[in-house]
Amino acid sequence: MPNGPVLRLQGITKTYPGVVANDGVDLEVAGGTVRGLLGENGAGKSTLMKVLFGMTRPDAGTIEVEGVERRFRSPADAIAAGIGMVQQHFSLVPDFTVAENLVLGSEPRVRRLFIDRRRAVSEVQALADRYGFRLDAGARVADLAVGARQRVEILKALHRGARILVLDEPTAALAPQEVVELFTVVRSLQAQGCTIILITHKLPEIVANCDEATVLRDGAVVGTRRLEDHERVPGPERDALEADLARLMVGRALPDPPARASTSGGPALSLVGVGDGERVGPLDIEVRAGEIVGVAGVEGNGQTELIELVLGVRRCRSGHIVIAGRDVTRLPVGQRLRQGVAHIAEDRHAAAVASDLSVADNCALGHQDRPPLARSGGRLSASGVQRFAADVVARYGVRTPSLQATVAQLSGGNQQKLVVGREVARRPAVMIAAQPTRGLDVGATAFVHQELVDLRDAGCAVLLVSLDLSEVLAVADRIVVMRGGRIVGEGRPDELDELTVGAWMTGTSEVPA
Amino acid sequence: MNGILSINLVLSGIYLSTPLLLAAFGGLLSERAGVINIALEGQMLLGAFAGVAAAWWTHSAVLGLLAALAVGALTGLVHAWFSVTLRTDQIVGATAINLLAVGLTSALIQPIWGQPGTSPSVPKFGRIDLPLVQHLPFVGRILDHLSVLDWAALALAPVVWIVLFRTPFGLRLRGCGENPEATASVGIDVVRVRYQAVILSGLLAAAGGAYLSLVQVGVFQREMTQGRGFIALAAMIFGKWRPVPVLGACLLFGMADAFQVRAQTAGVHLPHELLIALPYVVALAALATFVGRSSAPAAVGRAYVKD
Repeated sequence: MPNGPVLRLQGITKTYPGVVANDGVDLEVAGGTVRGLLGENGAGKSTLMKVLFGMTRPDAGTIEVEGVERRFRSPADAIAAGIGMVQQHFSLVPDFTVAENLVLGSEPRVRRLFIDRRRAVSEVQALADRYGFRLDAGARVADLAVGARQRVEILKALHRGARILVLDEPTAALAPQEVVELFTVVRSLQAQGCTIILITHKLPEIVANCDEATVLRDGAVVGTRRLEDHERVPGPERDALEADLARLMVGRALPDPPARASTSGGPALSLVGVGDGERVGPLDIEVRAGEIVGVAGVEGNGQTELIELVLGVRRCRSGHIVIAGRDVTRLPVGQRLRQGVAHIAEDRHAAAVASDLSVADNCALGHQDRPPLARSGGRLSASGVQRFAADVVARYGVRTPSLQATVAQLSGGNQQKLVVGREVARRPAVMIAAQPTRGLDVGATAFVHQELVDLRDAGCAVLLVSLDLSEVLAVADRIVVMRGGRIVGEGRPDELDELTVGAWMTGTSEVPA
Repeated sequence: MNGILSINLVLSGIYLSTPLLLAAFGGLLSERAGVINIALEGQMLLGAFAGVAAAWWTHSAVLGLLAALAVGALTGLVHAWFSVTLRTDQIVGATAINLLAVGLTSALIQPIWGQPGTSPSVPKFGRIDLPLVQHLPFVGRILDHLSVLDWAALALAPVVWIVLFRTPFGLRLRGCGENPEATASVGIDVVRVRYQAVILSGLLAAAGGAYLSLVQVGVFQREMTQGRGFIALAAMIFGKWRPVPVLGACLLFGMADAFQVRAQTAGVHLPHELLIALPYVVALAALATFVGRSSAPAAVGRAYVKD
């Protein structure tokens, strides 16, 4: 195993207007090792990786790859130097086969004009087999599960000669079994001499899989630590290590996980035999007042459709939906909301905020038809809107230049705080929270979780839909698992472990519900 | 009815399908690369006009066709500039081309030919004589009556299929239409590929227009395309952006048109307007009943922003 530094970043500095994203970052990675890069959102991880991958140019600092100083003007330069990057959003063409995705841009040819399809498939299959990837080179990417798509993305980087591989939040959308397989792949790459940089904010993954961990905070390196094998086994040493890294990352101790519900009331939201006759159902879910029910599942297994059914955006073809004692199956969205439903939308930009409207106007959305925002005669009270928005902004700590600033000017975390604040202000009987912490940093995530718990303690029924299994396990009082549009498992978090839930999610082995 | 359903019906069905095929495959190439092309109608009209004008000046149908192709490529270039470089809304830019085509061709008839509404006759494209096939039963008579452009149009389905699905150019073009960012990530110049596809699209649509004026009638008339560009677009959608089904859709719409024409001349007792509407009704019915949802290229209509 080569052990000189294969990658050396020195004094990388990058400023954006008003923000120092990277402040003299030094990073040295030995060949054939796995390096963890920890940090909250906004700590500078992504900027550093953009610099390394040639997507942006640093104001100062140097990059050395295998002892040679490099200047990257574009990702193509970085790729030529042997650096590969697997981002959270895959850059694959779903309609193409695995082989087509890999050879795109450098297709093997036959008679000059045509693609040599047989050679493309056999080359790609050979590459996959060499690294021990479980992949069929002839399969269409759209038909693959998320974990397999990620392997395609990794293979794509390797196919283009990557020896240093950057994985950006690789486990964000994976089921536990897929996570296990990913790290098997990582170890096999390492065994073949690849160097891997793993960016994440999930501590256990770093501890279990990295040789060294570097922590970034506020754009600067605040510590690098070698991880020893004996620290990987569960026990007090590992706990101490994790606490240590967490403190480095956040700058303070992490807040305690929220407490579970003690008691719950009568049913506030019940779905009986509900389905759209197409992608979801029939399924039964009941959420009681003062209870958080978490819906876990791999992306695209009917969670989005479930939310649409509850809200009334999607037509219910079978069964009944009862909210706060009233059958709303045939009621339109507006009337359901008036029954006391609030909604933190899955896709913030598509369904929760109007980016070009002001903070004040966005706070008013959904409250515009009742006092104190609305005056008689259907007119909006400007001062009412201002006061209401000022209240939301102050109470939820939304960092904004002013109430008149557009929402597009806010960071993702602050936009989400605004949405949460606005929806909580409805004093809902039922809260539908869909992926409420996606893209948020540790602090903002803890904030959102606390809000959901406070709502529950105040007697609200919360339906939490999330792709992040650890979130569901941490916050929910009861968990249901969806696969193929149906409920395939159910239980309390203290009776379930990740692998059981993962088996339900992926259907790898049938565990009786 | 016997007079209507005959070998001549098949033949005129093919004639009427040819302009649709040329334009529909133009649309197919553009949309497979991610650029909606509803300018097909205007590009056909400009092609029809340019073909006749050039044939009138040069007394050569071949030069007329070449001029039509050049004008078509130019309109494709304009559409690409609007939608790829300026990233305007692709529908709006194309509508501008459609409106310009109607206005410009109508306005130029009088100054060029000194008469309103229509041009004088110009040299037409002849049929190709095929000495052997004409003796074949049934198909012989059909094949014998086809022009170069008919042959070219019928050959488009296999040719486009091979280009799209068997060549690097086609793979890249489809990549631009499905996920331009991913395609760019492997070093492909998305802007360039889209320009090529849209220019080719304009060229083919103009060939379809030139067929109407130079092969079918030998004159240019005001607004002579009569919405055929949109019918071609409908055929492309009905054919789910796939070459062989698009060929079938164009033949279906062409046959419906041929049936309508022959029914009129045979004196079928149906209102004239109803018969004229037949191909459009068939197109509408086809779109309303058969089209699935997710068959369009994933990134069609979406501008690509290089970062």
